[in-house]
This record gives sequence, structure tokens and C-alpha cells, in this order.
Amino acid sequence: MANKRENLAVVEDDISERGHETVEGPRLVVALGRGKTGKSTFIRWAAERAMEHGSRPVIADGDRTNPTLTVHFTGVDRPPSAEDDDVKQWLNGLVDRQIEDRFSAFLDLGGGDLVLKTWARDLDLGPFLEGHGVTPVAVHFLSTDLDDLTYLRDIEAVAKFRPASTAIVLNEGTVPAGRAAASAFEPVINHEVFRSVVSRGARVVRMPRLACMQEIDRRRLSFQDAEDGAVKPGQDKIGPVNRQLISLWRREMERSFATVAPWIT
Amino acid sequence: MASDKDVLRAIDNAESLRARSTLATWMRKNHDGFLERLTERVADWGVLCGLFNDAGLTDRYGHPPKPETARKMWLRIRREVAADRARRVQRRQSPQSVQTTQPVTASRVAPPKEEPGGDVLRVMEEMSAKGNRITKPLE
Repeated sequence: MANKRENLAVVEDDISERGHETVEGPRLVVALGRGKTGKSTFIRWAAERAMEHGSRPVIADGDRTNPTLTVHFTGVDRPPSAEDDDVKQWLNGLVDRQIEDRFSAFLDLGGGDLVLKTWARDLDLGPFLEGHGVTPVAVHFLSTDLDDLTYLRDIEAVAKFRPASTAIVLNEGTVPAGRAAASAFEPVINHEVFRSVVSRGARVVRMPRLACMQEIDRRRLSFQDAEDGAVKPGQDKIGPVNRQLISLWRREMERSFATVAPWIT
Repeated sequence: MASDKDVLRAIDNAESLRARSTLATWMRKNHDGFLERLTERVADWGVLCGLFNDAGLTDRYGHPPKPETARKMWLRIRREVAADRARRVQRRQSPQSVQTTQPVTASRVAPPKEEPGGDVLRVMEEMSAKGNRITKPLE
């Protein structure tokens, strides 16, 4: 409980320092990017954080190959099948319900999903949502691989999903061993695709690495439970060192994402 | 567990408390006292909203405040008060500067943007700060 209070205090101080507006009303937070860039980890962290703040977001897991969110949360919204048409109908239903019932949602469609591009384009998703009082939030995840920028470019240029609330996350967890993060990401931040999205107003945040993330993943724990050492029956314990690393990572995540906190809370 | 009696006492003693006051007005006028109490104790917004409701403090639509609404309202009031105080300090230091005040309204727009590249510079500096540095040997 003390850790929850401390993490909340950190984000409140950061918000007051950086001074940004509160975003009211429901929002659709869409995690975008190729596989293994941190989308699901982010949603796990953000959704858990939103719940700690008293929100009850819907978690929509459309990942057809690796539905990570489904194993970490109960009541996750899933498409009836992996077929493209079923996924599109499911997305339509999600948005219909969101507009009607005014809830916020986190959406993960899996790495480089093509359905999302056509669906967002056909619906003119951003303006459509805004017109119905739902704030669209695009959160793009990039590794140090320049190929990740292809998906970013396509979402912006092909799907035309370019909401004002756009964040680009540089995931330090993807930096190859032995390389410094800053130099590894230099080609990415200097690329014209990246620069053009930033120049239209996208925020850039850093997602810190957590060395013991696997300890949490394999136990299928929430980040809070992992920090508290609250493992499930039959699971081996998480040692004090890893719990400290988890605690520090969570605080660092709060600081890193403070500039976009109103979009994801 | 922190007692909320002090908060009740603060509400009872607040001279600005009126039957028709909105919660935001109350928070602004009792900013320092409320902040002091929140610093001393953990904010249980569910309990606080019950107290606010009992005291007739509402949101701008006249409805009893919900915990998340009250919490976000408090964050907004804190920023506004901090900004007001900073402007007053600036006004005292440069009396000829033109001061404009803009009402801060909750909206759905994105956070105020830094200069293009401001985020990038900050992020890269953070990455560099965490990276290994070659240190000079002591002479």
C-alpha cells in the first residue's frame, strides 16, 4: 500500500511540475507498433495504474497470435475469432459501446496488425471518435530497429490515424546488449518519419528497461503484486533485489510518462 | 490509518464554506489548509467526497463529486494556484510586464506542447544520463 501511495505522489508532483491539462471524458488508447516493442507491457502497466487511480477501463485484446493481456487481466474483451471480418466487427462493436456507455479503453491489436490500418482508415477513426466525445490516443512503440518506422509511417499516412494525443515511446528494453540506449536510438530519432510525426506535435517518451521483467511475466503477476512479492500459490518467491528493481522501474515509468499521464489515466 | 476528523474539522471551520459553494471554489479558497492536511495524511478520495457531499460541495453541474473527479479537480486547482502565485511573483519583479490571465478549463485537448524536439532532447538526455560514462582517472 505504501508503494502505491508513493508512486501516486510521484506522478502528481510530476504533473504539477510539467503543467498540462486534464483530459476528461472517455478515451480510446491504441497501442501501435510491430511485435515485441512493448505494447502489451505498456497496457498492463497503464491499465493497472488507471485502476489504482479509481478508473475501470476496458481492456481490449485483439492480438491474434499472442494475447498477453488476456492472461494478466480478468474480463478482457476479445474478438470472437482471428478472422479479419470478425476482428473488424468486434472493433466496431467496441467503439459503438464506448460511445454509448462512455468508458475508456486500452486496445492492443498485436504487432503490426493490418486490420487496424484499414479499419482506422475506413472509419476516419480519429475525427469520428472526437465527434462522439471520445478522445483518441495513439501510442506508438519503437525499438532501435528502423523498420519499426514503417508501421508508424503507415498509421500516419495510410490509416490517417493522427490524433492530437499521439505519443511515441522509445523502448529501452529493446536496446541490444552492450549498446548505449542514446546511440542506439539515434538513427530512429533522426529519421524523417520520426521527425515529421514529432513536428506535428507528438510527444516522445522513454520506456525504461526492467531487467527482471521475465520474473513478472512468467508468474503472470500484476506489477504491484510483483513489487509486493505477492506471488500465487505454488510459485517461487520474488527476491528483495528484484522487488526493488520493480519498484524503481515503476517510479521511473511514472516520471517518463508524466507528460502523457492525462491521456492514459 | 489516518483519521478524517481533521478534514471534517477543517470543513466546519472554513469560513468560506457556503451551501452553494462548488467544490472547486472551496479547494481554491482553502488550498493551503487542504494541501497541508493531504501532505500529512493519505488522501482517501472516496471518504473525502462523502464529506464534500455532506458539506454541500458539488461539481460544476451541481452533482456530488466522484472520487476521480475530485482528485483531478484538486490537481487542476493546485496547478492553477501555483501558476497564479508564480505570476504574482513575476509581476512584483517586473511591474511593467503585461499580465494576462486565462481561465483554465478542463478540456479534451492534448497537453501544451513543448518546442518540436524538446521531448526528444529531454529523452535523449535521460538515456545518456543512465548510460555508462567513461570517467577520468583521479590525478
